[in-house]
Amino acid sequence: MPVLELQNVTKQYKNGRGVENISFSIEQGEIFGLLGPNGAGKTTLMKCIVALSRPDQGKIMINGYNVIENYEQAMLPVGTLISGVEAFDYLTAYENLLLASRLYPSLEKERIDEVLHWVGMEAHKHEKVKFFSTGMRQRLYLAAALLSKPSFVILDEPTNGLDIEGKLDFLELISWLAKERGVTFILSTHLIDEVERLCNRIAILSKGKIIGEVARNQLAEGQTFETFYMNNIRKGKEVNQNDELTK
Amino acid sequence: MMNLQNEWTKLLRKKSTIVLFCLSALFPLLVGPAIQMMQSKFGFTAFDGESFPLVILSLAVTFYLPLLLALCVSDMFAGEQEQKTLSFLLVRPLSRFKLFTSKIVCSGIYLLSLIILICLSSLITGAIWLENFTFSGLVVGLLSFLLSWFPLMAMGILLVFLAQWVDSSSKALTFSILLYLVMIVLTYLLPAIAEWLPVYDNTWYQRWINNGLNIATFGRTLYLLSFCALFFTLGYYKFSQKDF
Repeated sequence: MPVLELQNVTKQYKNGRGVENISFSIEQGEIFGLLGPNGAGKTTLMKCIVALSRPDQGKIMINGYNVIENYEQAMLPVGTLISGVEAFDYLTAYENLLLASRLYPSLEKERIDEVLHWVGMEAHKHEKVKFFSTGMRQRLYLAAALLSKPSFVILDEPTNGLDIEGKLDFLELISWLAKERGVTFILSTHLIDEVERLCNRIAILSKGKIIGEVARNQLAEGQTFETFYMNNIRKGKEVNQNDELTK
Repeated sequence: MMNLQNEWTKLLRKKSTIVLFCLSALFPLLVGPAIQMMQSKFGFTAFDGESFPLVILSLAVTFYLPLLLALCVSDMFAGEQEQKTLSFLLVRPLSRFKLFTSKIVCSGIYLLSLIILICLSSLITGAIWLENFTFSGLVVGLLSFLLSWFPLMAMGILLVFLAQWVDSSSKALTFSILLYLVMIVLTYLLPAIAEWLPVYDNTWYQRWINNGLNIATFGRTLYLLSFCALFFTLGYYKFSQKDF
């Protein structure tokens, strides 16, 4: 059974943006990259996966549970870092994680210290979030995503605002969790180096549609995710230009 | 109610909550001695130790508590949506129904805490500073305060429903205050429709004191219950369909 399965997911906002007819699935242990330029619909899709937005059409299953119909069961083994979701800034880092931890049955409080240590935020755990920089907040959100010992983690633009050291630590942590703990990841980003370093498979999202999908072992000799991405984006642009000319 | 503790923690960690708790406790303590001074200066007795808690209650249920309730509800729903913190808990294994319910239960506990605080403070003020403080007055005062929770909660659920239609706490608070004032005005201008509005029950405790449990109060209780059920359902429906 796939960890995540999307079947013909469509979500359109009133301003015309959104995603259209998206289908893919992710298997256990994969690090799946969702790559696309700004405004491609990556965050919309991520929000649909965690049911912050309701798809207009289609079905999203996590470990066989429909996220709309069986939300709690679907989300129990899932950790999330979604762009635009904010922590309570009048609470400390520790208190924010404590709130989140109460929603997972049988999660020990010691786990909070453990994840704060992983993201290098131990020294700031009793500071209020309102005094945090963007990078510190991002580290806290990563800690919140890993809090519940998830078997599947959804990361939307996870390195936004991180400094070089923070970014390298993050990439190392994700690699370690995938290799040592068998955690499955879906990573949405516009940064090709993250994808190149981490992912086993990628899908390219452009203007709300998937325009290409490839696994690392399917790449031609000498080809990288970057060249695959650039070829598909160019093709997508050509198709769009032809469509406009036809119109 | 896994999230109830979370909601209560968040509420208590806000400075505004602590300030409002302090103000609520101080309100009768400040008004009591002031009234006693006026009474001795002008030689009249408008109310005594026995009736003082009811005077405070009538002021509280008409203006003070609905305002505090509107503040709390606006911040809990529209405010958290505006600050994008609502999603911080929504991306956990917590259904929207449980989140919605826990917020309403938390606002109910908050309201009850305010009522008990004002009640105790006004009873103590009446006992210490004003004459004719009796045991029966204490019992009636206590019951009146507790009875007032129910119609105020009905108002609170209406405000929760309203908060689902706006995306900022300031808008939600403004609309709540406007709606409340419109309802107050309507009860005077159009008495025929007054009974359909929750502000009609601002004098709920008086009806219970005067009539006890009779058919009219029982019928009104059922009406308020159905009012709560209706706006809880509508509010939840709107909340469950939202994109965050």
